[in-house]
Amino acid sequence: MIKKLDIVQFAGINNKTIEFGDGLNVIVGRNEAGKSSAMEALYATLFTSTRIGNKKVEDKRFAEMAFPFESGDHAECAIIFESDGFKYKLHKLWHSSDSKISLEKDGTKILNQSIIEEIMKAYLVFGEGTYSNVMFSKQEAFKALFDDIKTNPETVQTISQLLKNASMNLDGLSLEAYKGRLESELKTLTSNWDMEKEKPMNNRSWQNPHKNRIGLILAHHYEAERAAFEAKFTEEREKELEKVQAEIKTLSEEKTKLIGRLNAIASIEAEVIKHQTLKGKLDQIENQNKELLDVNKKWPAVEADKSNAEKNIEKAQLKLVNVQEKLKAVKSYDKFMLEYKAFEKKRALNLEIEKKRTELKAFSKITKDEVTRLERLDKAISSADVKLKSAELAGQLLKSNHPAIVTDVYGNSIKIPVGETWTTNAYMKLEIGEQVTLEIQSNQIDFTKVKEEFRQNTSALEEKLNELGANSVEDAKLKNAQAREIEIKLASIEKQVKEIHTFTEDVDFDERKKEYDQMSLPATEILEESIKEILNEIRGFDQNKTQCDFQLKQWQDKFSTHDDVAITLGENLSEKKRLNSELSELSELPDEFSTVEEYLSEIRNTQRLRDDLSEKINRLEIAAERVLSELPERSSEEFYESYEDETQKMTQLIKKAKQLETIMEKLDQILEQFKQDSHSDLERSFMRNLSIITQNKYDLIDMDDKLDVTIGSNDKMLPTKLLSSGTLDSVALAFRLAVIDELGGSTQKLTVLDDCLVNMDENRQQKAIEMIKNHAERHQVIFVTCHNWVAEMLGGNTIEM
Amino acid sequence: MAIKIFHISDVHIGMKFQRYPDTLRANLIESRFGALINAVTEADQLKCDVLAITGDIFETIKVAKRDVVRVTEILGAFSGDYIWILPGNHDYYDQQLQLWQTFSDTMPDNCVLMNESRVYSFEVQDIGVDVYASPCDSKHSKINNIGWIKETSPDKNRMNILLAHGSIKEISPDLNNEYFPMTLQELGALDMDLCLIGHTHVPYPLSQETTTDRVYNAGTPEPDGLNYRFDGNGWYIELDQHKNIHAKKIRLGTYKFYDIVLKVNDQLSETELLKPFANENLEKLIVRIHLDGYLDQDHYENRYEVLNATEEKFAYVEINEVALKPKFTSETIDKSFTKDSVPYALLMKLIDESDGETAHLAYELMMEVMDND
Repeated sequence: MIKKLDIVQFAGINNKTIEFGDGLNVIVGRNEAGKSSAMEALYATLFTSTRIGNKKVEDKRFAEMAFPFESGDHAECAIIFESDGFKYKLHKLWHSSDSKISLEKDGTKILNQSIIEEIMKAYLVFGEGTYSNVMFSKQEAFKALFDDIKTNPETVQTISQLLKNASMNLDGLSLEAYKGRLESELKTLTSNWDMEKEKPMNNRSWQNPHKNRIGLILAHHYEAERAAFEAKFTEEREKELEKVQAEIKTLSEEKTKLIGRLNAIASIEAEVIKHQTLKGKLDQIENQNKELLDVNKKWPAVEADKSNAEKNIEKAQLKLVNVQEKLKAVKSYDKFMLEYKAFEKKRALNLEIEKKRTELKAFSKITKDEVTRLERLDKAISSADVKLKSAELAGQLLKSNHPAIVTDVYGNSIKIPVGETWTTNAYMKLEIGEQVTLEIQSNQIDFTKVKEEFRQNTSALEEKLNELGANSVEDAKLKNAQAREIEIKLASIEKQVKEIHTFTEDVDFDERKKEYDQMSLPATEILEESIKEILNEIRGFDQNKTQCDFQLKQWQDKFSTHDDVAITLGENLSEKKRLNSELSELSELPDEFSTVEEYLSEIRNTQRLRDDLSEKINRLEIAAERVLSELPERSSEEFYESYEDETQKMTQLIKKAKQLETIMEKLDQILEQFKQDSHSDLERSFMRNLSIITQNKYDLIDMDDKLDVTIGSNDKMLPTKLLSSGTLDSVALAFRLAVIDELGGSTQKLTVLDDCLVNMDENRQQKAIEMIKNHAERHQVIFVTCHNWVAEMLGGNTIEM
Repeated sequence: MAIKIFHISDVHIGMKFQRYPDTLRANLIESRFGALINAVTEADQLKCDVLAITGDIFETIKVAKRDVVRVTEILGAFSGDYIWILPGNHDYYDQQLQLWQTFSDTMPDNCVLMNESRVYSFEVQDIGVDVYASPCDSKHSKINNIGWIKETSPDKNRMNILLAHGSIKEISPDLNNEYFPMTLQELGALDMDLCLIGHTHVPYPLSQETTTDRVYNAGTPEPDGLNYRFDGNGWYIELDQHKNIHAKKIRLGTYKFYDIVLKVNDQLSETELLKPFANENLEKLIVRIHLDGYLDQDHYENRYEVLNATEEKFAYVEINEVALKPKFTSETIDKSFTKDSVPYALLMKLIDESDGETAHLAYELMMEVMDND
């Protein structure tokens, strides 16, 4: 219990001591007498720390309020209170730099601030908030708790609900406003942001952003996304540019090499080409000179050849005429010879005819009959001969000094040596030497007859033959045959002779023949051959001439005249000299090339490659230009820095949003808990106070027509009239006192009441005073008023200010 | 007799700084020109013979023509013998690029654009100098451009100086090895009298002055982002005829960036906030502070008063509160609300079942609602 308040210096109060009694204390004084300051001093001594400076707002505010106006630099107060049988004196001096605090406990002084705070905490039981919001609160604040209920009566239909609502809004915090603030704060942060997925709502990125209701998190998220995109974009462009530039560099180096090569070979291109052209001209001149020299040399020869050919042709033609004449002569000779041959033949045939006729004369006796006679004689001889031969004789000269000569019947003799044998036909005459002659005849035949027949016939035959002039029968037969043959031939020759053309003219063929023979004419073939040869010869010469003409014509066409050939040759020689001199001044085809075509092809290829490279480089340069134009002026590093900043900010905001969600969740839980709690003690206290106001008839109070609330007596339905403005002050007081009653059970508590009765009508004042007095029976009450009549009505310990 | 070289790199003219407010952005863009002007001025004051710029003088190959012309005008003020310009990976050389055409068309007479990998020969202070230039020809490359030098035989009677651009394994991050990576060992093996390298924004060596190092990375002359915590620098290098070296780091930059984590405990005060920036010119500081820890309720609620007051002192401050939490306890709830009221119960429930940060958010919104009422 507070026993005393010593104000050394506080606001406008100096050296003022106020002593408090148990129960009800009424401080009364006119306006500006310091009542409020005294209560501020009491509150400050109990709760305001002496650790004040001159910078913090509340410190300044406190100094302004507590330090004496203008010159005061400090405030100083003390209170004396009793607790648990001990007497304490708490002394505080507030100064911007030299504050002081002490606590005396039964005369023992304590300066340690922490210990003092511990002791005070134990004494005060409740925190400063409870004191400031309830015990020291302005009554208006409590009245305000019911303002919302009055304007929204449908939310509160029972005493219990009334109390719950009032309790919930205690401490001056409007829960609706608070909830609204939390929601709006959360919305400010999370609008269109999905907290659960930690992504924008509907996953809309910065490239397709929400246009409205962009919460701070989303805004930073978009900024971070944008910065990340820009960083990546920039980095990619930077790298792309580097790549393109590296390619350009490589190609440029390649191009430089090519240009070097090109310069090396192409710089002499004109000279090489000129060299080549001049060389060509020179070669042409050389070739022409070769020809000219040749022509020059050949031209007279060809002309001579032509002349020769013409002469030869002339000669050959004369020769040809000669031969042709000869041939003519020969042909007339041939014709003569044909006639001559016929003449000769005829003459030969006539001779033959003569001959044949002569021959025929020789055979004129041998007729066919004679031949038959001869054949008969021959046959008789043959028959006698066969008979002679059929009587063969054999002999052998056995001994003799001489050879034997044997003569046969036919008169044929053979010499036979001694010892040899022999045979004869039917007769033999043997002669040995001159002494011996022997005839032997066969007797097998009639040798004599036969011999005679043989001899006669033979003789007859011989005679006949002689007559005929034939040698034998056979000969006679032959000659007869020959005569026949000659006759036939003769007839034939005679016929031929008749058939041979006989020349009418009287020509002496032999004479003519002799003439011809003396002429010794060549053969026609030879002449013809000769003519052929001459013609061939002429043809050959003619060909030569034609060739010569052709050649000369060609040369004339080409060179006009032989003299011109010589002139051109001379000119060419001087041109050749000039060209050689010019050539010596020009670059030749480089050794690495075998032909100018190859050289030029290499130049063209190199130029093409250079042009290709230039084109590629051009393209790349355009690409580089494009990338460069796209490249932001900020470097990727700066974008990454922005990204990190934005991400960090976003993270902080997300954290705050989560905290807000937690707060809202816990608040809901608390409110739910409040609704569930019975608040029966508070209700009991409130009912007790209310019964004083309504004289235990609260359930009989008439309804206010304007309030659509059902009332009843049994279920503690709300007496709506209580909420009418006239009774609200009383109800608010009843509620406040009930709250104090129920704070921390039944301990005695300090209750500071301002002048809360002045707006009540008398009846209500009476009832309120009754209620306060009732409260003061259990607690220390300090009632502050500027009205003496209020003090009088309240009674209790009156303290005048 | 000594050759005096002023070495800078990575000016990155043309950076946009989109994340910053308009005025600051314009200042940051302008400051890069300022750094180049500072380099030229310093080089002249130190009577340097050569101003060597080892790449990335421009941010991109698409930098505005007016910026290129402005750069060549600035370079035109240098009165030394030569300005050696090496294309880097951000402003790599390609003969088709308008950037280098404009640059070549407008560059001062003493400027040599080293766009080919070859030896460029000079006479400086009667000393023969062979510059082995290794320009970049693309933004990315997994192979550095100094390979060709290995095939050469530097003339020991001349000063052999390498100008190259790319990451150096030992001193710069190049996770994917795509920025012409090289190593200190590789550079050493080239047997150069001096290696002037660009790309890495951090200067190398780290010391302010040296007489022993042969490899120099200029860093950027003007800090360019929160990931760069150093001053903007250039190197002033003297190389005498005996090839003795003396190098000094020269500050060139205007702005400086800080990206720091500030551990807080209960309270947040301007003093605490300013502590990491002692001895700095706050007006030229661009700062991101990652507040990490718990603040007392009142400090948390009033943090913007402190932060706003502090912010005014800097060129720019960005506060990251992801790791900053109010020390929101049942005491605070007790202090503000009646026991067992809805706000009281809600906040207590959030503390119990969720976390103080969420409870605090609920509380802040309650206060807003109540203030509005």
